[in-house]
Amino acid sequence: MFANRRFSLNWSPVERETVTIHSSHFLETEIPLSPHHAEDIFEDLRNFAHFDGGHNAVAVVYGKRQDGVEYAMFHTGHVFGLISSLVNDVVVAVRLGCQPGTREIQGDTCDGHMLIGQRRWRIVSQPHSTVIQTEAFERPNGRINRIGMLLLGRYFLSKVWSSYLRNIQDALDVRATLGVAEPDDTKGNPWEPRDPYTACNGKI
Amino acid sequence: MGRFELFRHSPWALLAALLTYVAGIVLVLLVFFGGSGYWTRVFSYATFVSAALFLHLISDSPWRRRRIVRSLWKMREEALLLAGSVESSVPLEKLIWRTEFADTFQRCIAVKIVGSLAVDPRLMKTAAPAVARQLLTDNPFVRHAAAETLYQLPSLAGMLQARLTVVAEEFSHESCGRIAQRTLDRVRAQK
Repeated sequence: MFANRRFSLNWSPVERETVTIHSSHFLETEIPLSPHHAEDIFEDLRNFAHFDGGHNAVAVVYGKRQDGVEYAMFHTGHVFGLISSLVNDVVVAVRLGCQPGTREIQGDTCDGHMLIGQRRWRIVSQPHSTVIQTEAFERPNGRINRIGMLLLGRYFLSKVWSSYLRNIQDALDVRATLGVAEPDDTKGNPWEPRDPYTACNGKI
Repeated sequence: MGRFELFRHSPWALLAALLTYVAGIVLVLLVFFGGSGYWTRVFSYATFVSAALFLHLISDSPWRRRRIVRSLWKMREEALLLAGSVESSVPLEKLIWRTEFADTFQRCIAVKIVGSLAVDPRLMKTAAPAVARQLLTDNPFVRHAAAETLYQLPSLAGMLQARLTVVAEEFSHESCGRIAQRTLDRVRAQK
């Protein structure tokens, strides 16, 4: 089953040339969070501690470490419709990595994923607020997924991440504004998987 | 959990499957015994539409997931409404039963909802052990959902510290183990 499978990234050099979709969702608190609180939220992000349920009725998740590499496993069902089940795995893996000393997590899509690209989750402390953001440069994997993406895929993807941020907002119990930047197409993915890979090793 | 689990909980899927079956048989008979063209056409359409409906209803689509979430929340409301009365256990038992399903998504959401009910003193005795059981289940998604539930509900986590300790040690390589450890740290800090 998926539990013991080995994963490799589904990236190739072509990503630097291909059109990718840039999307961004953020949650901005009305008052800045203390450094301790922000670190706590970063750990929550790393463990997807507010992902399941609540506002999110699209997917569920769990994280695991395999051979020193962190993965987030998403149980997406047939998120792009019934035909999606013919070409995609129901459980898809995303390799998680962190840049040491920062509050940012990077997720690179692995084989079997309906997308190819990278998503980042980060916490940005500003003078008058704290921003919890998820941003991605990704594109559908193959023709069938491209059709799925055009039909309802974008909507459901956006729904997953805005619901996740709303769950975090509920857990934080602070006044905050949820924002979604209109997705736009860009030529080539400006991000690429971190090499060498650095796992997220707990507290920063 | 048998192969007909899906039909027990989705009467519309059962209806669509029966329609497909009946319309399909009639269509085959009409074709074999040369029935009128009109009825052959009608049953062709009926078979196609009911088969499409059946496939739509059984596919693990976002729409199906939304229906599942709605029905589980409805059960939660019923459980809260009946809490303390004679027949109080029925909706809660139904919810707990769903935490044992084969469908991973449904199990995860059911665990979270049962957990949210376990903070109610009238339902705690039945609901808390159901969440505790799912902490050590074979399904890693459900383990994560159970750990997440307790992380968000420190009062419930305080009662299940022994189980959380086992999860934190046994699954330290998984998000559920890390969340369990953080929950324990949080509970101990509150003391």
